[in-house]
Amino acid sequence: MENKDRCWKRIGVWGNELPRCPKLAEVIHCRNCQVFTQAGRNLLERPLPEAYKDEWGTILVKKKGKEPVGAIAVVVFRIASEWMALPAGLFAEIIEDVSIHTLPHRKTPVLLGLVNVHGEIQLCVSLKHLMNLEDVIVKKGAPEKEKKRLMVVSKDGEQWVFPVHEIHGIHHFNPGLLQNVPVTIAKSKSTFTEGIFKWNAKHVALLDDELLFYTLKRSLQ
Amino acid sequence: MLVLLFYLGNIMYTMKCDRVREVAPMVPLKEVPHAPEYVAGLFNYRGVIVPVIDLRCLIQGKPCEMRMSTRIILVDYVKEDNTPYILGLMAERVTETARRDESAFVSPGLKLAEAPYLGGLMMEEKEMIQYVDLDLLPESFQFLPELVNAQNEK
Repeated sequence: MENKDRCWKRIGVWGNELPRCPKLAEVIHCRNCQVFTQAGRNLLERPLPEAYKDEWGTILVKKKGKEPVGAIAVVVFRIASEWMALPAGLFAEIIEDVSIHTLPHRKTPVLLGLVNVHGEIQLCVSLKHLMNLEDVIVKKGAPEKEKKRLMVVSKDGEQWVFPVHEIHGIHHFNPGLLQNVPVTIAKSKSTFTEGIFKWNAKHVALLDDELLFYTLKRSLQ
Repeated sequence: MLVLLFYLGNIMYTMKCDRVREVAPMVPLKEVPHAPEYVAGLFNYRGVIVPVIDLRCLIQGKPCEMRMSTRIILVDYVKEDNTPYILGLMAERVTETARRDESAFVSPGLKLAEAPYLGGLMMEEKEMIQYVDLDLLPESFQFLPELVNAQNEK
């Protein structure tokens, strides 16, 4: 059972050292080779320690924890100082910060201009202006620029591009954990907020996408 | 279809995975006095008492060696009156699964009265692997009805 010759240690798993194992021509890497696999399996042929048995015994006695059912996936991002989230299903992609071509004679601050997304021209809009978020004072030397991204969001067949200051990525949570928006919040952001959830000790506002895009369309007309 | 490969001694066996609920590592088992030798003991599996059958003992008359790759295959069954129950099967070197076509399973036409579950074979290129039919396995255990009732009392 014991395989004494650990050939992969001598020849290297890619066979870069000479002499090259003849089997490598066929299997390319040792992980595809039976000798290697067998050696790995042999690790499991060790006698069973009592402590291992006991440990698993206590684990398997317990009932499996119920996994949260009906969890929803959202993309968490930051604009100015506010952390917000939109359903992950709306997202087409996240792209690097590219230059925005401004449109002349457009007075609304919501429409930032046009961006080139894989050769297609998309409208770039500012959620910051739509929601009247205040700018944060950027400390000098803060790595603000590096995290800047554009989110490409697709809603009812239309695509929108939003610049955001930071994107965390996808977060799953149970809709039951959504808290109501405190009535005292005066910011207009609250009108787009469906609820608030906690994430990394921060409060994140889940945005009402129907209302958001409706308002967005109205504001551009 | 997914099949589970395992060993009893030096002989490789296989079973279909459709009934397999989980493959658990070896755990301490409560011995059952006066039970047939192939009953390795009772396993407290997530609060359910599961009888564990030592497959090597059942088929070869020798108990499984206690190695890290010796594992308990938990299999889901349904009784005739639709009550579900779980059976644990202990086997050696339970480390591999494979995908095989249904046509790889053949019956050599042998009917063993002692072990009806061992009739079939899975054909490989070079060898034949004996196939443990999980559907026919419980027929060989007379003690089952009582245990099934115990599981469902909870």
